[in-house]
Amino acid sequence: MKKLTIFVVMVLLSITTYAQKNAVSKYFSQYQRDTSFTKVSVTNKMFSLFTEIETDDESEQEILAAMAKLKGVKALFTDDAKKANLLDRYYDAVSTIENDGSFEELMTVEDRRENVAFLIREDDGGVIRELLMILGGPDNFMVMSVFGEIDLASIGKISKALKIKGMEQFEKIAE
Amino acid sequence: MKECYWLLAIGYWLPSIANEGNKKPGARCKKLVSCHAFILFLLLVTLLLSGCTSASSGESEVMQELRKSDHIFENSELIQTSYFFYPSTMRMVNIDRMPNWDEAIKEVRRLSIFSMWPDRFDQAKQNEVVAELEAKENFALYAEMEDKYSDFKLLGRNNGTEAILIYNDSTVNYVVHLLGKLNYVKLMKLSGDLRDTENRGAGIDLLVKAMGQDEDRAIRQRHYYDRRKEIEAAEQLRKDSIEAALNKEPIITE
Repeated sequence: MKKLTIFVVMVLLSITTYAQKNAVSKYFSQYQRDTSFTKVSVTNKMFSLFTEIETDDESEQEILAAMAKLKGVKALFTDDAKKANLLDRYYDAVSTIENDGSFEELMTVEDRRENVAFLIREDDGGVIRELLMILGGPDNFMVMSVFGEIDLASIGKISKALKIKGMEQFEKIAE
Repeated sequence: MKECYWLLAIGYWLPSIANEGNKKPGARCKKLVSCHAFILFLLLVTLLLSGCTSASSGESEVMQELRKSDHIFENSELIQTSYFFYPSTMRMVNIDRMPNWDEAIKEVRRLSIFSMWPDRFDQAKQNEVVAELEAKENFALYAEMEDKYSDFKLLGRNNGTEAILIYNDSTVNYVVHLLGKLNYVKLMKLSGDLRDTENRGAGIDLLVKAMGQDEDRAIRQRHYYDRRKEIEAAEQLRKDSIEAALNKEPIITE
């Protein structure tokens, strides 16, 4: 009986984990074959390379330490407004992911030109495991997921120092 | 290279033990020990030398095979143009002395850029190469990108000391092979610097111009292939119609 209980708990836990994974991955897989989207994926193997880099520069050391804790980045981007209204896509993405329940809203900046929503997923210990950025305006739409162990202050600094296209929005979190 | 120093040290050390043994009583027993030591030494030599050779030529065999297909003075099968950059040539490209460039390439031993014939190094061939790199040579996917006009896959192994980038756009394909370590933080800073300025640097401009010629050649080749296909199709149609006419049963009229 004890074994059966453990088994049932394990199955339930795996289902919960699957559901959490599924919230964003479902969204990404939805647009996987859509040629109007640019798809970017960076694996944990890439981030593990940052542990190998040596530097005396303190700001770079901070960047490297933060990057070494990341496990991956996935991003979807489009500026093709012919297929669908990109602002509608933004609202649809935010509501789909919020309704899933595994993410909570961190910050939203909305104006006439561009809307940005930041959502996070934390583990039981309060460590941020996934940071999701959804950006939408009349001319562009982007969903970017950064996962691993995330330090919000460092993410802002990384984007500021490296000037990576699309990541400049993360600077808003650090402000 | 460190292995070679160890090898020399062991080479000096082992015979000295053997000689030491011969001077003391019970020399026969010591001789036996020295004999074993010598065999051990030979074994070490063989092992370390094989290690040294594999380390020096430790680059991907799949890449070597791909390069073999490059007959520069004949009709090249897959590769249109090969560019090889060594630490000195990579520093030369940086005419404008951008500090992040020099830092990014400091530990790179060789950078090879192969401009491929797009019609021959097609998607199927690329998938084949990627599958071989992953299955046979422990390469792992580091990053990938795909959009309407272009895509790339970056694979690497041995803590990033060897990396291969396969890049496609609508007109040309490139395979970039990197031996040694690239400082990715400096590289990203460099790309940020370049984005901020209109001036890419004279060296990079020259390189881009040279690669632009490959792009033109690839476009001409594509036109040539398209034209050839059209001619072949027209020829086939003509042959089929002649054959059909010959095989046609004669109509007998009374």
